[in-house]
Amino acid sequence: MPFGIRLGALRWALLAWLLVLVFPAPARAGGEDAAALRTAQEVFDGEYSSGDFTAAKRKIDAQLARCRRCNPQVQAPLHILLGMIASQGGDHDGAVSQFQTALQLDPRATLPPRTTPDIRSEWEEAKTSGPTGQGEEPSGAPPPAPAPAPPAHIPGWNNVEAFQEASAGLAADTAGKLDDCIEHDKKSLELEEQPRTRLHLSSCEMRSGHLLDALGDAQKALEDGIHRRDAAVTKFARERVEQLLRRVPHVTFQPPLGVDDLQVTFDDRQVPIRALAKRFSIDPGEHVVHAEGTQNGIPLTFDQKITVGEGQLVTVPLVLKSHAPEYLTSGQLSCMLGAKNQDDVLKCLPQKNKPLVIKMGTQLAGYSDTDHVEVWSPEIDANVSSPTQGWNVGGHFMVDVVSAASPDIVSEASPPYHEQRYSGGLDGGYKLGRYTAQAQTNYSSEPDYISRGAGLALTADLDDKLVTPRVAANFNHDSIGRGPNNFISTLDTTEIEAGVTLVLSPTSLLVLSATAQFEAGDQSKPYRYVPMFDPTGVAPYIPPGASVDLVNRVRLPVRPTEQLPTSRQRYAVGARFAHRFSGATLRLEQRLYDDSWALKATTTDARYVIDFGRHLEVWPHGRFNAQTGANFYQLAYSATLDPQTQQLILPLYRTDDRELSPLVSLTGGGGAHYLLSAPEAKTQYGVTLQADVMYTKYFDALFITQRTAVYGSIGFDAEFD
Amino acid sequence: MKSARIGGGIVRAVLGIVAGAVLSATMGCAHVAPYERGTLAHPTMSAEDNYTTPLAEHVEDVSEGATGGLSGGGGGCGCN
Repeated sequence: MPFGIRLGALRWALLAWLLVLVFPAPARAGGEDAAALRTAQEVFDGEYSSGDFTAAKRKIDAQLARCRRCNPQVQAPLHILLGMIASQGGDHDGAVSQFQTALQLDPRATLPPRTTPDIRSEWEEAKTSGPTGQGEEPSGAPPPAPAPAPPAHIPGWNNVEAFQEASAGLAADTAGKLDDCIEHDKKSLELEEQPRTRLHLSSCEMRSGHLLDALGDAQKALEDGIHRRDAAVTKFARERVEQLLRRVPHVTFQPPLGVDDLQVTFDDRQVPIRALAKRFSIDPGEHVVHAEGTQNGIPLTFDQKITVGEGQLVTVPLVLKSHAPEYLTSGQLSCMLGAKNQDDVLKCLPQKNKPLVIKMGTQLAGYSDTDHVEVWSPEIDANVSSPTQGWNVGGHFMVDVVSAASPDIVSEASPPYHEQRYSGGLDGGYKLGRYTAQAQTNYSSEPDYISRGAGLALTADLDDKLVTPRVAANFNHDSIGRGPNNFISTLDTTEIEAGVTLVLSPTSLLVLSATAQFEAGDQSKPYRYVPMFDPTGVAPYIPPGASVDLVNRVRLPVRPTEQLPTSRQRYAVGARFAHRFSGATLRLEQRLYDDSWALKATTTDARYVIDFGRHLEVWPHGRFNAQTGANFYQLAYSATLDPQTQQLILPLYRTDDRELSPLVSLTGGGGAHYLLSAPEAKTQYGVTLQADVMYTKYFDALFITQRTAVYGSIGFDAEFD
Repeated sequence: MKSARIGGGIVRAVLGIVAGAVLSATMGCAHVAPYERGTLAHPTMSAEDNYTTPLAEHVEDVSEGATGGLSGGGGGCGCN
């Protein structure tokens, strides 16, 4: 073994030895002791380490000459060093002699670890041949002195506890307990920053494989050594830094193409995506790389363990793959490319053998507006389907708990009301070949309104599922009453729907639909009273938003109930467009509406669903609705007195339903869905939060001119195979 | 008079559907091969409205004079 290498291995071990040897009994240590110890360290760090034994010996001799009142335990290491210098120079007897002197001064003295075989041999010889050899304790020797009390002050240290921790770190190092060494040194450094302790910590970290920590601590010791002008620390720290820079391994990544929402972790720590191609310093050993993202809407993952040696540069190509069986493999794609018809394509696909898929959900929704209406609405739903057999059944149930004290109620001197609305429904469908039939029925009940409905929809998969037309018919029979069990009218509604879903491109979908709804029956609210005004002196002057007091003050005594036309035909066309970008989906809806009451409306709804990783989706939502009023709607209705019969003539149709007046509403909000389970898991759970604010401007309504409503929901959904 | 309005509404609705179908047909929707439909199977690409909660639907029904238009999608193309 070359001498230089042997010395390098010994340097810090000797420092540890010096401290352990000297500091256990520092009670009498004074300035000379500290100076002697410092000289020993400097000589070992400098002249001895560089092989300049002559200069080393000269300095130690000089120090010993000045060290007349030094603690024998401080002088002992100086003689051990002289012995080691003698041994390195081939002076066997001189080495043994110096070691004997050291043992006489301090019988508990020991050699530093990892010395040369010659030095160890000469040390053993000194122990066995010397008058105070440790192996042959002379009879009659005085008993060992009691353990000294902890010192009040340690030269070169401000904190005694920090010194003790540093000493414990050195002791742990000599015992080969590197983890304990690191722990004690860190505790010491928390109490007091000492560059030598920092450098010793770096040594323990380096030997335990934590090269990055060792490099950081060596760099800090170097800075501190330069700042304190400690030549020895500076020299060793610089060498340590240079050595570690050569030994520290690096890793770099090759990012995949076309994955914009890529996320990469290295040993569970996030790696900045923009810096993936840079070289990252790491510790040698085993590491875990994980990456995930979506490509063309398909979630992909990458997991790999890598083992890195000292000084290596490892490049990790991030090749993301789908773990979910429902996504296509390259082999399946090749098979499908060679398919001649749809049946051949189906043979290429994995055969799903899921007997049943169960979906369940529950949510709590709330609504509140500036018109003093509040609603709480818990809801549950469930659906069971058999993908292989083509059938599905489902159901839902919800309760609306409503409390209202709107101006309409106040104007009629009615107390605020509270009521519950119960609503539920069942649905089921069956797919036979390319045709699907889906039936549904629903029922809702509140004290003065009961609705029963049923419907049937038929769809067909045409042109390899690129075109899916749909026709549907729904029928509702409603009972309208004035209070519980006092139903006085009925309303029948028949709705016919025709639509088609079209695949426009691999990333775009369009739904076109039209509905025609025919209502027959008196849907007037029997509890809704309409104020009447004098046709010439009052009605023209009633302003929109007129207060309850003003209306009650100027209206006529007569107060007829609402009367609406007994039939209504309502037509609407709608389009829903969905486009998938990389990492986001845009959903747009547009509806145009017209009816036989001359109410025309346009409604636009937009959502932009953004993926944040594989688990989180967040979307802003906006909705705009504008409409004209019904042709019989008036802000202020007039009643006139028939001069012949002396009876009041009321308008045939009359209402103060603001939803039949001209208005504009603007809704803004958003939502988020967090998938609690892995996307490829068989059992999936998710949480959804949604909240919207809706502002409505009424241009021609009594009591209020605007309304702001807040509504939202929190829901939980689960899907099982 | 009323029947003329009803007839006009139906004609407008049918014309809208036909115009949309023609428009979409001219956009080349028939060129999407089965193996290109992975994105269309993404949950956010559902032809149906999976985002409007029952309460939100109820709020829209009672606060807007209009109704209908998009009662449901056709089940979605491209989803196996």
